[in-house]
Amino acid sequence: MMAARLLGTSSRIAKFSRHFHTAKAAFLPVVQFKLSDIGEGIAEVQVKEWYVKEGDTISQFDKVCEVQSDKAAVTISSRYDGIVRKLYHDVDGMARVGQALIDVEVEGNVEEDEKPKKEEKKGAVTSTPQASKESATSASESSASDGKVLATPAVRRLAMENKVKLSSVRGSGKEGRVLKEDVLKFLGQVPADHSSGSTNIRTTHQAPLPAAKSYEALKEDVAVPIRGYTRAMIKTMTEALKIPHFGYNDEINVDALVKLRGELKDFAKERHVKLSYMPFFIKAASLALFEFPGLNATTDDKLENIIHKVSTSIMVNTQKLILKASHNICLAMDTPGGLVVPNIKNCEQRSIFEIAQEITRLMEAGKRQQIGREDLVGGTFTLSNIGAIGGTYASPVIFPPQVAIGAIGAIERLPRFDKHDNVQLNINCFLEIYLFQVIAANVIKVSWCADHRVVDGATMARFGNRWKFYLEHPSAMLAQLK
Amino acid sequence: MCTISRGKIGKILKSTSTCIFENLAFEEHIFRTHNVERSGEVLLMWSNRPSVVIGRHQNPWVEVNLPFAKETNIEIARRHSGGGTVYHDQGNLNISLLTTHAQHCRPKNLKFISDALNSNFTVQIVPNSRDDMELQPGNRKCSGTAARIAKGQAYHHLTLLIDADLEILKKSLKSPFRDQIESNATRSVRALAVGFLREDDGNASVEGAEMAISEVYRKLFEQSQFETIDVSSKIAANPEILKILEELKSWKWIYGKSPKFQFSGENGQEIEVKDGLIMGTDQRFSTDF
Repeated sequence: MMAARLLGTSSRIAKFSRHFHTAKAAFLPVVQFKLSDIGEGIAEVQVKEWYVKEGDTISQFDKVCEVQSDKAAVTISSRYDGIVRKLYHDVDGMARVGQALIDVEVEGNVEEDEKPKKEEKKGAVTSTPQASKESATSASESSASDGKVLATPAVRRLAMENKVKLSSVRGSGKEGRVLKEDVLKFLGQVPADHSSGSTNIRTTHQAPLPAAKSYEALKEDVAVPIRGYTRAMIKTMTEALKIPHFGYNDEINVDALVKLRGELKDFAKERHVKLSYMPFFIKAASLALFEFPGLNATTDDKLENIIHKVSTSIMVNTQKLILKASHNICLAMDTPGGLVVPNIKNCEQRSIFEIAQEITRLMEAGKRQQIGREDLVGGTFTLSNIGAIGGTYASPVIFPPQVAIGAIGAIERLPRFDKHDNVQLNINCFLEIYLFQVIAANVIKVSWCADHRVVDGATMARFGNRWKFYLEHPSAMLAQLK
Repeated sequence: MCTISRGKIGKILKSTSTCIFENLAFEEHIFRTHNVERSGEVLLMWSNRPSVVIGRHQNPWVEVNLPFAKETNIEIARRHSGGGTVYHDQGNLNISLLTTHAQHCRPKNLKFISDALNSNFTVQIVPNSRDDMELQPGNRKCSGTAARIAKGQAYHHLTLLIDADLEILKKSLKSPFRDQIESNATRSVRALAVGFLREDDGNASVEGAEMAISEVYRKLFEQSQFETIDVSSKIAANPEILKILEELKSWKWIYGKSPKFQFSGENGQEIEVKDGLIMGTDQRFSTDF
């Protein structure tokens, strides 16, 4: 243990010298806590009172100092847990927005302790590219703490707030670095459907940076005032992860669906309906929900009772599950303001075209950030069309108080065995070789997640199968047409 | 900056207490505990018995005529928000608007308030660049503004003089020691002229102003609620607010929070004061108060 501590200290020293050579060492123990945007176009404030001094231990949300700008008294709270190492201003000093306020030594990194030998052997300068390469590979291998994953403090915070393990997010940045976009994608942010052009996610989540700000402010820690939808998302996701999720994934052959959509294209155009695949997914889900009402249900606030609104009530121990009569199916929608999840009311009463029209209406509203409250409440089941952006399997997060959600991947063209097992028989002397026909199939992956307190795997699987059946055999949907 | 549309719910609270400490404690408590994102914005209104209120980082010896205040039983308080010193009495209406940090926009608030007053009374109130409101003609200041921002929430509060005894007001804000003190504390900016609504409209009343502002505030939201709060009882029943109240009343807060300063006595004494306590002096001195 003693040895480890010694090693730990020396690795920290080695780390510091590395700091000067690595442009952005994301796993340094000391972070600069910068003064975030106060708003109102204010660039500078006066520090009036310090609540901490060098050497103090500080926790996230603890008061750091009082600053004053014009007539506003602002209390700055800490973003980090750790030890205060440096105060950048004296009382009455002027602090600039975007510049360092204090240095905080954040709670020790696991990486530090686990790689001391390598650090020591390498020495400062030449080891840098090698060391970071090693850490990149170890990042992809490790299933341990986030200390091994390359990510900036802002990204770590985002992940932490949303209870995302950085090690399970695939980093798309340099050397496997996990970027903010990677975390957001992981959380399942999607535009509405395949065919419509999705708004560029990359630009929607950046803070509006004033042109003449100092260059430093752009690199890390961009303080984005959390507004509107994003704020709501933070709340919802925190609530959601209290639900024990289980997943069930499947693959669906959508050849029939592709053909069907092709057939309907002109007819839809005539009716001024924009027909993507989403209306089919939604309608199929609604039809399947008739058979599995337990998935179209909500739990109440206290998470003690699951609310059935219709006459049937299933008593599960002392809890009640409310089965909703209406299939108000939510779609995860990416808007300029962030992830919004409006729902289409009464899908069970709407035709596919009508559902398509609703989708169009909601998307238009979403682009203008004018989705009304009516559209946001009362959802009973959610579908996320992440496939419009890409991906196959996903891990969607249930939207409380619902009990199930499905994430649909992109359509891929993949080789599959012909369903009818058409066989080409090829006899060669005494050998009989059966060649199974391999065809190119349009395939999508779906990832269902459900609340394991009230939904069991069998139910989810059967529902999934039914949904799959409808999509692979659209005639079955036709047969139920009223 | 101020383009985001306001939320769905707005709550209007009217305090029945006339004690400055109770009202400030209640305001601070709401600021700390009411989650605007979840439960909507709040408009709080109240009036006090005669009081002088200094800003968070000010020096009462510089800003307030302490002997006069003591004589005439004017309360002295320090608030949590920044800005300068104001005099309150029953003819003054205090307005406090609680929003998220992102939604905090003082000019927007002053606009809707001055519009409400201008349409209800025969006055012409104009907000200026310092976020004061002035009665025109004459640039007579009738309102001062201050703000507090912390943990993603903010309040903007302001005074509004409907009726005032300008003599008392001026006297209480003129400290006999103001030129003898050297400090970095925020200095109040004296208005060149001071006015009150009743000067221009004899029918102006605090109740009238409250109603006018409430009506306009309501319209900003989809849903609004109006509640009269017995702040004194509320505080008595809630130990958390009591704590805030005790702090606001304490010497340590009112006087002790003053940034350090140097006092030059009449006889050339130099006294250094920090946290309200005398640090160093080379002379004896008498304690008047």
